[in-house]
Amino acid sequence: MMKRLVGAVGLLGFLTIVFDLSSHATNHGGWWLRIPGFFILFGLVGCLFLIIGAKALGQAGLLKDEDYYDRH
Amino acid sequence: MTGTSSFFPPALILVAGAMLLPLLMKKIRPWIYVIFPLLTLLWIIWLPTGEGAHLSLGNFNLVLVHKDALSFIFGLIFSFIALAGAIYSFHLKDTAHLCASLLYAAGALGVTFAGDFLTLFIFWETMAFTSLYLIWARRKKESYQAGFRYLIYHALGGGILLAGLVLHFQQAGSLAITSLQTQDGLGAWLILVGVVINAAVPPLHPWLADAYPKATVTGAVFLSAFTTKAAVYVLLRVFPGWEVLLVAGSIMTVYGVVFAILANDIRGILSYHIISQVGYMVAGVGVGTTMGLNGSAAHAFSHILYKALLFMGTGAVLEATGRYKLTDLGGLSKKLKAPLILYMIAAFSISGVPLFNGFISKSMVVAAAKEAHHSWAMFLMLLASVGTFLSVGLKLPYFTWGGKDKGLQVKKLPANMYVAMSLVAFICILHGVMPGLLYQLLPFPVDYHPYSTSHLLETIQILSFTLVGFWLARKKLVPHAQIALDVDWLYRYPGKKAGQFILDEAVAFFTWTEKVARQGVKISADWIKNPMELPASPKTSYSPDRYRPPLRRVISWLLVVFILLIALSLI
Repeated sequence: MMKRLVGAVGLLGFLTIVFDLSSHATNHGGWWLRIPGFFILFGLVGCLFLIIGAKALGQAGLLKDEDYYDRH
Repeated sequence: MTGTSSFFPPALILVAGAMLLPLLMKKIRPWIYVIFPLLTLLWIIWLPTGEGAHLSLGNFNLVLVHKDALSFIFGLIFSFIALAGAIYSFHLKDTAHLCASLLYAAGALGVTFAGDFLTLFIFWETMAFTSLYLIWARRKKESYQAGFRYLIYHALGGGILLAGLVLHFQQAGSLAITSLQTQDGLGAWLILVGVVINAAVPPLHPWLADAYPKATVTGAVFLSAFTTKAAVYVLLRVFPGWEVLLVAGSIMTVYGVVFAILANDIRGILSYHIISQVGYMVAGVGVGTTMGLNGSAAHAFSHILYKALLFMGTGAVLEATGRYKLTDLGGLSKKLKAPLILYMIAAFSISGVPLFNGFISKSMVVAAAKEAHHSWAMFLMLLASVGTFLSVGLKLPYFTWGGKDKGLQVKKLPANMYVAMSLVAFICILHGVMPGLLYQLLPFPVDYHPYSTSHLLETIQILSFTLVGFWLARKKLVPHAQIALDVDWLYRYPGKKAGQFILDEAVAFFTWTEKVARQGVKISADWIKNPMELPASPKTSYSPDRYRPPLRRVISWLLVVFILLIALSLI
């Protein structure tokens, strides 16, 4: 069920590119608005970047056993 | 006190309530506990705009009530959430907890309506000490320890704030609360440091993520609302347009979400998201435009609602199961369905999903940063909203209510908890659907339309593909029974070691001194134990008998003298 929901929501997000293309000529205010589907990429890459970045920080030494402060 | 008839300080209504509660019978106590925040809320709505309740304290003229649009919106939400929090904790038997909750809310309202810095400071400190009880009242070892760290941090923050206020008073000659400028000198900067400690701006934030998850179930609801948002109120009032706040706030939004990804404690995740969300408000103050300041106030209002609801939802899980770690939770969707629905309303709100209140307030700050040509800040805040949906909207509910059924026994929750959660959830949706209700309360006129096509498209694209990203990387997010080290490591590990070193060295020095003194006394005592044998080292102790001439010798001599006298007298 969750898989279907993710697929449906992803498809909905992807379909919004159509609106991006139609409003392409009227966009003012930032270079990113001229890239159709920019925020799709931003959401996906941002999400993966945060997960991988946080995990990397954790593995670099931030994550410790729960009794770390009791032992030290 | 003068001018109190129409300007009775709202904070004092709650103080009166807290003083009355212990005197009441158990049966009516919970009702009175709820009625006082309700009275306060109504009083704040009724209170006229302007200044009143003047109090002379030595040479100072204190102003206990200053009501304008900014203090009204914060006063309104503080008193409302005190009411919702009181309903949520209606079932509590711990009278001290009830009193501390009311006094804590009184502290926040006292700060909000303070017309001078001294009044503000008194209520500021009231918040620090009363909120401490909400942490200690959990009565666990880690709560006591975190509470002490919390106390020290806030005592330090309060001290810095007071030092700043004294310097400011010396320079300005007045305690009136006015907006300060960066060139106003050391006093202004010390006040800023004192305030941003309470706003949990990194690196001065660790007290929050350390203490809030260890508070009581109901205490955390109050904690999530008052301290940081009272600090945001002071920032809005005193430091609008300070660009350093834009930088700090924008970084803060991402800092909180990164640490939330690493957290395993469900209320720890939410605590880091307080830091992240307050970042938007701090950044809005830093932008300093009417849109930025309006956005900051609007987001504080929305945030207090959905964050309280998030803590209520996770508190319901803790209350029902006794568990609070993602690694211990799972498969609760059927057993705790209503808390899940109510939690998800708050999760959608914090994530900025359209039709929920976060959507209409968070975007104001983001739009303000964009309007003021701070694109970098806008992108940081958008990245943080990705992380917010990821952790609060997806990861936390997925591993708490979804995931593997851990076969947890679920305790029935008191009905009042559901009433409080439903009330707050209703406002979250109401403001999401009718943004004008919130916008009309803001300190400046609003010219912003959240439901524009471009904003809707942007939000749908970001959130839908955050969900896709979560699904793709969900195995990476499987929680582990670990903790993440934060800045508090500095005083909890090397600081503790340094403290121990200093303490150990001090103890060693005093032990050595005592030993030397004892030896000295022993040697001296030995040396003078028999002065008759000095300067040689004495072998025996002094005894007066030994050095007294023997009695027989005296008697013999006396006898000799006596015989001689007799003999001489006979001659």
